[in-house]
Amino acid sequence: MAVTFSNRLSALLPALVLTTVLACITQSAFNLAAIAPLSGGINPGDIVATIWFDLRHFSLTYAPIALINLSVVALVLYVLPATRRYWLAAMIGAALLYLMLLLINAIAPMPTLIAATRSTAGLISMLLCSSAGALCYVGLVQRRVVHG
Amino acid sequence: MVKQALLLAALSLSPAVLSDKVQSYQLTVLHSQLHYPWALVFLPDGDMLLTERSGTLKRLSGDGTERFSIRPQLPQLLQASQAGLQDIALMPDFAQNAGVVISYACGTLTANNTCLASAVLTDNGLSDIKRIFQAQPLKSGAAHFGGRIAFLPDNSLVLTLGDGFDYREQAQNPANHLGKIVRLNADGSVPQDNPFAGKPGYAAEIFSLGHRNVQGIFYDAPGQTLYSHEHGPRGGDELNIITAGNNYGWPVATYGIDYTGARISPFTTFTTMQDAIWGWTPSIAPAGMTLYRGELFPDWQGNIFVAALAAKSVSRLQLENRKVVSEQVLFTELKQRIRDVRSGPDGALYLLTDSDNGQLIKVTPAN
Repeated sequence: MAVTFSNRLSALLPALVLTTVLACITQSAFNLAAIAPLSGGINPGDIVATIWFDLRHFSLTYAPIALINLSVVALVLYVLPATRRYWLAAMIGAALLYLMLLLINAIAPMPTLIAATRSTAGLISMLLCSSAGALCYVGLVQRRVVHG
Repeated sequence: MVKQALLLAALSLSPAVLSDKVQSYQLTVLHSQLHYPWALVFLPDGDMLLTERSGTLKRLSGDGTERFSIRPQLPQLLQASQAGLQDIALMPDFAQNAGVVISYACGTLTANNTCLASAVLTDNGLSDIKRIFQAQPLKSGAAHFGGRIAFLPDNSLVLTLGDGFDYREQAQNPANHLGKIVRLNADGSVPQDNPFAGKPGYAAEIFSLGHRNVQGIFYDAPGQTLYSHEHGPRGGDELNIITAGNNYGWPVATYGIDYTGARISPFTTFTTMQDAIWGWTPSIAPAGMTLYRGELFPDWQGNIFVAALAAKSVSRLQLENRKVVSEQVLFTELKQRIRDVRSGPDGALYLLTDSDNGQLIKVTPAN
């Protein structure tokens, strides 16, 4: 059964939300992890409050990035049917985000726009968020193919 | 090319801000076509030395006439983004030796920091340029160099530094110079009474720590107080009273958030860390700063003036007992990013606007 544009769009939106939420939590985790040793630890209430803050504020910056990232992933999967494999979609999502971050940092006035990506661990974590979104997208599209 | 305009000061006050009365002034453009001017200092004979971030040092007469314009051969000068030539200050014994100190970004794009050089002012430029300090460690990126200089009564100097942007947590690391204010002798050596001199694990040059990007500092001799301000990220710009050995909190205690909207820290204050005496959220991007001790504007006597890049204005702060009691926003009619503000020996206020067609503007009373 053919996948319509509507099917793809309805798969893209949950993938976008998932990627953005994961990225916000990741961003919170890396900023808090950097502060914790300097402050003698962070209490659970501050951790929750920071994640909630980032979900409301960092998401506004990150959602457009994730939207472009996943849209390009969707386009690649559409144009190149051979790439419609879970592992390949995950790789494409991560690779595209990496290229986007290089471009953003080259254009932005500051050396690194997204603080979590200052470290290799943070960068890989953010790339994994993109991979998760790509996997979600492929999974939802496949499900719509199977279930109509 | 002197252009004069008579303008009335516009009071643009936030709800919590008061002012005594409207002070009228006139603005006179003394020099234009400056390329990102950064700092201004007055010579005893009434001339001025002016730096441009792009690496030029100019000597101007009191009316703005250019006496020379040179590109000093500063060792390893780095020019990129925020990096370049920064501040210049006269040594306390300038009358005897014509000595100056100059701050600038040095190194390469991938290995740089802030440097300090000494030199001798001559009729045609500078001679005997020697690098006397380089902040450590060398880091990547061309952001957050600090770079302001102030001399203290004992003839030592303080040099403000930045955190390098990507290295903000290092502002709390006492072993290096990132995010610190350092205190040096005029020859670059370390004063033995620095707060952490001889303490294992501490860089001996550190005077205070926990700063983000300090681009304004002066010593108020009558009040025996060292003031500085620093850029916050999104919000959290601060005015601080600097005391030897104190920790000013960045990035643990801040009212600012990341440019992306992410929270940097859950703390706005923190025990063992010094609170700011004034702050700006949203950010005004404070650049230069001066204490007005002139006679042309009696109402401004003892006020602090803070040049603001993002706010395109100058904040006039009135203090009582080392506390800010009111703020007045000035010179918004210029619609220009203001890089530096200085109190001249003639009682006028001098502004530098930040652009590739920057101006040196003199502020005098309207009458």
